[in-house]
Amino acid sequence: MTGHLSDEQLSELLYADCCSDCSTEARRHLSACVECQSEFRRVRSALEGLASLGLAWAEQRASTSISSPSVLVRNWQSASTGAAAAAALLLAGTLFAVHQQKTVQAPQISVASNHQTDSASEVAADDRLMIAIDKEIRWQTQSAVSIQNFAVAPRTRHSSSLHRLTN
Amino acid sequence: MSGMHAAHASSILRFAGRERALAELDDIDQLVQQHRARLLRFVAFSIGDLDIAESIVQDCFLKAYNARENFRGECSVQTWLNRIAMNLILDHQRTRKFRFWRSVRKTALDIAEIAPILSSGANTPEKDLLVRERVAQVLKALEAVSLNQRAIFLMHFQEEMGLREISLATDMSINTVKTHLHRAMKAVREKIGEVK
Repeated sequence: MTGHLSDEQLSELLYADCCSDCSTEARRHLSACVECQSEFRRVRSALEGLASLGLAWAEQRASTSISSPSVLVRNWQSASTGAAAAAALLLAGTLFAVHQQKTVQAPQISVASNHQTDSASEVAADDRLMIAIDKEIRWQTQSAVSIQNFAVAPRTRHSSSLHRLTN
Repeated sequence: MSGMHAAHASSILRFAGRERALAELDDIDQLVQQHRARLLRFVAFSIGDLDIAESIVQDCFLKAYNARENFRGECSVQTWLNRIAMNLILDHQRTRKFRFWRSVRKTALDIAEIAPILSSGANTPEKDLLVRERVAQVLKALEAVSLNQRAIFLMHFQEEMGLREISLATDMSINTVKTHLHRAMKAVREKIGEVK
């Protein structure tokens, strides 16, 4: 081995503290080289400090800030689906109600308008009917009178002579 | 024949591991309690922003819980969570929002905030100060390297994950993981070397 520990070897040696898996050549060099021992200790203390400091900070932070996701958040997908379905139902209901209201109002309007239009035509029709009835009555009255005249009217000379002829 | 037995035993063990992991994933409160601090540490140190880190950790647990049926049991739950967290970090980094907030760095992770925690009865104040300075140098060095290098370095030396586990968590080959790790280590060594 030439020179000192490479970055790769140092990484392996540092991690080998945890899993005891490292090249014997690098180990041998480390045990013999004072400079690399110093470097190794320096980097290891920094990494240990980073790990312990980071974990202590994160534990402190975790205990104060965030709790586990609530049931609502956990079931967000199903909740959102349910909410969407409920919204769709509400919308459909509203639309249906509006539609119903329109269909109920529409005949009223049409009836009202028909009533208005029909009233004019009805008046005209009524007028026509009244005139027709009036005419009919008048004609019937006239006829009746004439019939009456024919039937009830006193016999004229001509009719009496005719009566005499038949008798 | 022995190979068949070994494969059979391996599949049984994997099945048992998966069942155990699924039971662990089913209890989200326990899952959060067990992994949250480590996950927050990893994410916070990877992206250097507390608010985003907390948001990512929250998302990570939700994703893990919702996708727990997809967990195949090929790795530990911690590795799986790290994998989800890593994907979320990468997704987040791609957004403009992250770039903007990174430039503002209002909630940036600051060694000054976490340093007081380091103080322990075992060390002398001088040693505490020295370690704190070295940790600060490590963080500075990690700030300068790429996200992949930083995340892999943290997984290895902070989360104590092996190369294979990191490979599974990052979806990279072991050689690529090694390359990222050694580049990060080089940067860290150079930076620590400045503190004597």
